[in-house]
Amino acid sequence: MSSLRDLVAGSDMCTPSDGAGPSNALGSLVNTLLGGAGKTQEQLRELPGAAGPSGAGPSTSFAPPPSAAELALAGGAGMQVPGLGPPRLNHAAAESFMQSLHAGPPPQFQQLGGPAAAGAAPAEWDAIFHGQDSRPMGPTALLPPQPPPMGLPGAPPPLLAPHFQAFIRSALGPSPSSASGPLPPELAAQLSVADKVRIRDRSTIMARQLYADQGDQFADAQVSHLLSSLRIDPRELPAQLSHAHHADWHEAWRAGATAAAARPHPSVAAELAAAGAAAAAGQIPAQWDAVWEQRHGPAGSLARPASTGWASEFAAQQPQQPQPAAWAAEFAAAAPASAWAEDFAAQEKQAQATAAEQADQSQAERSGGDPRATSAALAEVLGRSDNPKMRNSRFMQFVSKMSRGELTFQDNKVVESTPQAAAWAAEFGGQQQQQRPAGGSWAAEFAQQQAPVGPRQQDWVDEFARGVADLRLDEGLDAGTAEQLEAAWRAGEAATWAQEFNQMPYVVVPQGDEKQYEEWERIYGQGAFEDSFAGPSMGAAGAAAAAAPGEYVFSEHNPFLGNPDAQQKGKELFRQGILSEAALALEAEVRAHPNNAEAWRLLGTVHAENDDDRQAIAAMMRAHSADPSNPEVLLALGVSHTNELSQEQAVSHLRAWLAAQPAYRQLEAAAGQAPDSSQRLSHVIRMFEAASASAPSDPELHVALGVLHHLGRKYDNAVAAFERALQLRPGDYSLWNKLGATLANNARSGQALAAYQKALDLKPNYMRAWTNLGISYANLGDYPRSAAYYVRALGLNAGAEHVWAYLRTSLACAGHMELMGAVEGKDLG
Amino acid sequence: MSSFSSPLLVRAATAAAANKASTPLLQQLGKSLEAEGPALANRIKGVVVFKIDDEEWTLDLTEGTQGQLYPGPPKSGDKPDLTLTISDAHFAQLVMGKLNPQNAFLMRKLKINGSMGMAMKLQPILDAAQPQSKL
Repeated sequence: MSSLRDLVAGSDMCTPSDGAGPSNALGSLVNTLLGGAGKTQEQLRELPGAAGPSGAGPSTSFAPPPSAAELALAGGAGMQVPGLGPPRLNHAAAESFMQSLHAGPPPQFQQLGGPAAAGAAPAEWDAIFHGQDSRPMGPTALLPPQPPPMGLPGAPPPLLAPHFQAFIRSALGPSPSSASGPLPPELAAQLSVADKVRIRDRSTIMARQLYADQGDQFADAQVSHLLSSLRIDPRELPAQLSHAHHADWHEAWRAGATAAAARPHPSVAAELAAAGAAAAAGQIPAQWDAVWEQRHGPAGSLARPASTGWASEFAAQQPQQPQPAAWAAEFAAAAPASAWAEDFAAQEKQAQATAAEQADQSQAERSGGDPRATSAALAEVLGRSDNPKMRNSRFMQFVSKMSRGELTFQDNKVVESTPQAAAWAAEFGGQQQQQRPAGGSWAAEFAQQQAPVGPRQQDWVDEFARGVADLRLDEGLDAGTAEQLEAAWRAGEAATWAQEFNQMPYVVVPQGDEKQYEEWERIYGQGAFEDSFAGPSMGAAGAAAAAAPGEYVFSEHNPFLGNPDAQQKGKELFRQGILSEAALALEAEVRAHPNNAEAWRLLGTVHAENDDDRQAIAAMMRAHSADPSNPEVLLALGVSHTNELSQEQAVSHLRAWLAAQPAYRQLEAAAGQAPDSSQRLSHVIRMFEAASASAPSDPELHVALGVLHHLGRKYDNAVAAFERALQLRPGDYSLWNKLGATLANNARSGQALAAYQKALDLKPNYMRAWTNLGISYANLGDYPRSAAYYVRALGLNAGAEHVWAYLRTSLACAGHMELMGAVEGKDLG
Repeated sequence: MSSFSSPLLVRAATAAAANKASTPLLQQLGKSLEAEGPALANRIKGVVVFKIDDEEWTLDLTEGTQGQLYPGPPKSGDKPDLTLTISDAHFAQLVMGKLNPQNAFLMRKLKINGSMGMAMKLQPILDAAQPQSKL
């Protein structure tokens, strides 16, 4: 039992002040954890005491202090770094974590252990401790005395320690020994009421444990003995002190006491000890070294083997582990998300299974070729994936179904019926397009028309109506976007067609059916699988990303096809800020006139503003090939390549830009080539600077220079260049965005916000700026807001895959895992 | 339809990847290797494997190379110098700076196998994975 005393109260061999010494590994561990040597003992007493009132399992009494300590440590670690590393202990966090630890019913631990084990436990401690004693004293304590976690006053006067020691010592011997004399009054006065209550409670608890075999009354006698020696009058103390520790240790005790989860984790204890050892070093590298060493074998230093030894011994002895705590917490956190995900997946799979079935059926019926087989397989794959995007796809299936429903029943109305409605709605006003009622009415119409159809379709219709209602449709999302989405999904969802053809009484071949297959085959056959990064989604954006890089991907269903005014329409839509529609119009134009450089350029600009640099680059390259010296094209190419981090291409384009300007052509020619490729950037920058020196009031020049500096990560220079350009051209929204982006990439996200705001003031539908705002808020750590901005951006361009992904990231950081699945089509509010 | 499984399996894997918060970050990391790869490789000088929620990604930053990031285990078949096991959400938090690597490790959110020294140089890799604002 002396080992226990030593353990708890600090070996006599060491300085009594902190009660901890290198051999008192557990004590020092708990010291650090709980702070303060004197308190340690009280708190330790409290641990088994938590069990005490409910009828004490004495056997586990000695085991729990360390395990509870460990638990608390692990628990503390589960939430934050405990007092071991950086001396911050978020006790509230630890508490709540401890609460979450609590799994089993309270009385569980009571059944554990029996009186028989009481004798065994002390022996264990003896063994551990005597093995310990032989170890050399380290030069320093393993763990420096840490400030007590909860703002308790500093370590209690050392003079208390002997009293506690005596108290416990008395437990070891058969008869109570007297304390070394009553505590001097002045010291007793130092004990605050809270301290006294704690002492009383904990000593009571401890005593009950220690003297369990001698009965409660004996224990109480010991306690009163102690208290009197400490000049604490129990009668004057409050009955209960609300103490944050109580719950913690209680829970920790319980959790530790459940031998049910008996998973030996020597590494845990070892890690903790090692971490504790490292705390002595007080530096993170040392800490990591310690852990590393722990894993790879103890080093030769004095302190470490000590901790390692007892820890591993202890761990070997103690099957119950805090490990459940950590994973339990994580699991609990993960549970809601996973539960949802499972449900969703189950539903999806079920629905998709049926879809796949039908696809198979239709495949059998219609002897298609490879496209059909692929479509069935695709449906299968879709069914297999848990992708929440599936919901969007199904949602969009409904859209396409519905529109085809219209098609079916209004035979003469061409496929464009829906998109025409969309275009009409778009023309009707840029703001506040009441998509929801429109969608709802479509759904309603469809529902009516589809009345004779089977119940399953009805479900889809309902779901669609719900889905549309859910979709956040404010000033961002316009009919055009929805239409584009629809078109996009149609491109990917041939399975839908299969089902429809199977079910619809009127087999109407929509226009472009064959074309769609071709396109689709091209897309999916085209090495989309190689690039694992590109467009895992199933939509148009996915199709776009899945295409070979640099190749422009057209949206499939384009209402503007064949419209001679497409370019004009495109320009108007662009001015109005309805980017997706504008893109479609321009696409129609360039399909009709592939050499229309202007149209390609506008198309590229639209995509850049929609934050789709790949498409932007593809379009711009076409523009470039049609018109190699167009400076705007070259500048835009430089910008987009910079965004894509393709340094060489950006540089070459910007250089070409310079060459294309008559004013600077000579300068560029004169500058010649850079000495080698790594210097190319700086060479070109010098070139530009020379140019800007000669023509300081050319804003474009400053813009280009800014872009170059951004490329070279000289953000300060870039900011300066953009600011100069802005002075000359303050109304250029894209310039404000560039300034903001440069500031953000330079970790000046706060300032970036102002710049983005200016950009948005100039152009409210500037999707790229919204996205960048989301990124900046995420950089600033304001994840919920960041997610909100991503949603706004997605409202403008729902096809932006990476923005969906950023949204997921921000949600993950915000901790809103439950919204992950609902990411599609819902706003965060 | 098992006959279509081979190309589509990859697609299914990427479809699963779409679900994850970590995907854009890994993409960004891959992209940034173009610009920063050699510098990172000279710092890290090794192969790091990320195991994010059952998906394995290899970041090959052997000294003197450009640096590569690809899904799956290391192509050379060697044991990676450092293996990090972490959940998807925590990886996102790690990259976005909400969680720092040391804390993550101590809280057992991040499991490390292999070279501790390399693990301590993790930060630049994580920084490279942060989303970038677009000009």
